[in-house]
Amino acid sequence: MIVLRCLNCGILNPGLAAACRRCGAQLEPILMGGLADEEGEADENGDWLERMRQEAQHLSAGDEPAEDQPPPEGEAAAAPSGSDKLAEAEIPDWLDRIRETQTGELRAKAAAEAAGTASPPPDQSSLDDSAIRARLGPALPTGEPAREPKWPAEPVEELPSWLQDVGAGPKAETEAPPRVPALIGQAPDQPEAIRPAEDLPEWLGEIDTLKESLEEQMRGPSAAPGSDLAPATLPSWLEAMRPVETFRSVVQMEAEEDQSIESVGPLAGLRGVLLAEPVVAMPRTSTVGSMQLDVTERHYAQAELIHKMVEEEQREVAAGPRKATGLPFFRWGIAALVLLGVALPIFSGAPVFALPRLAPQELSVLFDLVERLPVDRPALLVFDYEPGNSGELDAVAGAFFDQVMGRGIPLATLTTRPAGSALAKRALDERAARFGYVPGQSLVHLGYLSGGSTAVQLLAINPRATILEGFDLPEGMPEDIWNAPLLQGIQTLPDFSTVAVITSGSESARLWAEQVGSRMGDTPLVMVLSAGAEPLIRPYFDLQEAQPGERRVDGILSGLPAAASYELRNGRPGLALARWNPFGSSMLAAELILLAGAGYGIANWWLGRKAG
Amino acid sequence: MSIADLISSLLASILTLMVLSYLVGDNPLFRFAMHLLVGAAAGYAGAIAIHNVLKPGLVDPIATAGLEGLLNPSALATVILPWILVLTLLLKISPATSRFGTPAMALLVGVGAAVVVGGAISGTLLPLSLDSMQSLNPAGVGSSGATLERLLELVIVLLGTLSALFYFRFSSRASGQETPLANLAGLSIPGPLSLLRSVGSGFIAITFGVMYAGAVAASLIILAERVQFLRDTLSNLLGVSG
Repeated sequence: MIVLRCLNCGILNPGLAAACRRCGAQLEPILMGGLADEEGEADENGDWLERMRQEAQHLSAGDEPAEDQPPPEGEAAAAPSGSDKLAEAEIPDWLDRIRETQTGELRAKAAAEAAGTASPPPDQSSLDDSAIRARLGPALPTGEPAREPKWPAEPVEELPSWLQDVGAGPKAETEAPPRVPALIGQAPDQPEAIRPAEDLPEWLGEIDTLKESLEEQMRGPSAAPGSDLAPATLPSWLEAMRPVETFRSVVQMEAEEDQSIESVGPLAGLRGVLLAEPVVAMPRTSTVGSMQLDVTERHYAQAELIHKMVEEEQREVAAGPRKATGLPFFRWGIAALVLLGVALPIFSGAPVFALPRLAPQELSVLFDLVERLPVDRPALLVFDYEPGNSGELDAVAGAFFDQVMGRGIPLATLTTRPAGSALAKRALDERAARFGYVPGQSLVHLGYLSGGSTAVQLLAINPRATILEGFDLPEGMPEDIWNAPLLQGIQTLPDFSTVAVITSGSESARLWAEQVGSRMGDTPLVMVLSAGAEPLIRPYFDLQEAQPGERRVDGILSGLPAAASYELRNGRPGLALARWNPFGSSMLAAELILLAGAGYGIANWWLGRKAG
Repeated sequence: MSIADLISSLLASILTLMVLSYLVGDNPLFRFAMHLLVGAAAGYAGAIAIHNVLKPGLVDPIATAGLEGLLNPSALATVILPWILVLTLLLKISPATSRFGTPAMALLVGVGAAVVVGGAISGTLLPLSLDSMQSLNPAGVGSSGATLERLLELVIVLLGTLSALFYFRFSSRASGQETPLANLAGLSIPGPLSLLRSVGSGFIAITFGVMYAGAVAASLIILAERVQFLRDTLSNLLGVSG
């Protein structure tokens, strides 16, 4: 492949290129031999030099003279012979173009010399310099700007017609890019970088040598033989020490046309100047004292998981179609059965269930305990349940109240629930009238005890500091409730004849057993419980049985059957016996429902097992 | 029965029916009754707190002692300090001033926790543990009469206590992979740990069953009381003597 080497910038251009692809200068091919292996063959043969010499002589003689125009004098000897014409026919196209170009230049030169006879000839050296500068333009290494020829051009009218055509050429060249000589040669088969230096001119060889040395320096020690590191790989310890930057550490070189021109400072007007703003003005993470987080893949996975969880929380779930639910016939059936069991004895008086004949063992203990209570000291009744449980506890505790009030023991009530005082008043006022109790004298409501477990413990230690104001006190009571005749002898909790806690919850009962039980001394502590709370409180009562010195609860009353037995033993029928039949009937219904459910479950399990 | 009692009984009956309407499903009548119950309970509790707690604990001491009494050093602990604690606790209302109420809250929680934990240890844990150990004492058994019933009770208590403790041990629960003791006619007999765990779960199930039965019994008693109340109210309205 034929190439042209621009002598202005030194780059190789394709053989057909009219201008240099780098500097844009017009290329004037100068045949100086190939650069490839054919060059050696030409050297051996010597033909190419001879042809080039002849070609040069031919071109200097005015190139192909027209047949209708005699050749100039002195150039006849140099006219091509027949053999030369034959050889000329074998000249390739590229050489023809070269010839045409140089022919035009020579014609222009001849016309200028002919016109110069009328004016003093310029100095030859300056003429040559001007011609060279006119051809090379500003790319001349001297840096001196290209100038137009100083001598004036001959008017076009005075030139021959064939020169008028030629004369237009140089004038057009003044506006065209500078023309520089270009070496003609063969393109090397191998890359230019690996071409042996001895095949190049000396100055090109120096460039290649310098280039190779620069590349060697840029490769650095990492490319040294024997190194295990890849060129772009850093050791882990060095990677960990690398400061974290917020901007890109790799500068992408833009095309020269896209690079900005510096507008201020000593580098003003230069293109491709490195910008100082990214380093000076743009925010970035400080590298001073920065810590390199040791983030592993697991950390990344966890962070991603948290990110997904947050996204899931923020994602709105479209409301699905509301599931059509059928009528709760099953629930209605169970409710109807229970309601029927409760209402049937109430409205019809039937069925009638037998009264309990066997009393619980703890009932006799409680009964005897109440019988032994002193009547000169008040008993403290703690109403520790909500109004919702009054339906059960009023019936259960009624028999206990009847026995205590039947003995004429003065009563004081207390509660740890805001609504407890009203429940106490509701439960005792009707009995007080029946048993002849006088409010304020034999019955007093101490009211609400706030503070939970702390207040209960303080009550056991110092009741006077805990209860500051009573509830629904009658007229004539002293300002300080503890100065009432009923409470004058009360200094500590054991000063009461007994403390009875009526509660529906095991937590409340346990609180009283823990905080008060060990501070009661000889004063008994009685628990009147809902049926659901009994299993968790009974160990405190059994503890008294096993270890009399470590008692916590001295008496216990729980459930409607025990209350019914209590009323029977008291000989005073009350709410427990009044609700005995509805309770029995509803319990029977509940047991039937439970049996039906258990039977259904067993049958379902058996059928499922049978079906495999 | 007076008119007021009749009206109050009628309102109570209507509210009872509104609550029972939940059998049909959640409905406005049930919600109205619930809101009324919660509102009345809260209002009543607020009134009780003011009249039985705040007034005698904070206002009356100042009114009784007067300005001169407040300057008394003894009033610092009985009057001024409670007021400071109350006021700082009120600052918990706003998140901006919430931190000023932290000391009062810390005092409440700390003292309450100490009382509860101390009471649980001295009133429940130690006495009941000692009682369980004491029940195995042959001398104790002999003193209370070495009857068959007593021995049987002690065996049940011992077996229930140990098996329940084994059930709540995670190591025992993880022994589900224990090798079966034997296989008889295709029936696998579990190992001793698995057997003990099963017995413990049985005891726990019986305990919860008893508690559930008690809760059901209590609910049925309450339902019977309400139905009885409805029947009495209806009889009073109709003038029919029950």
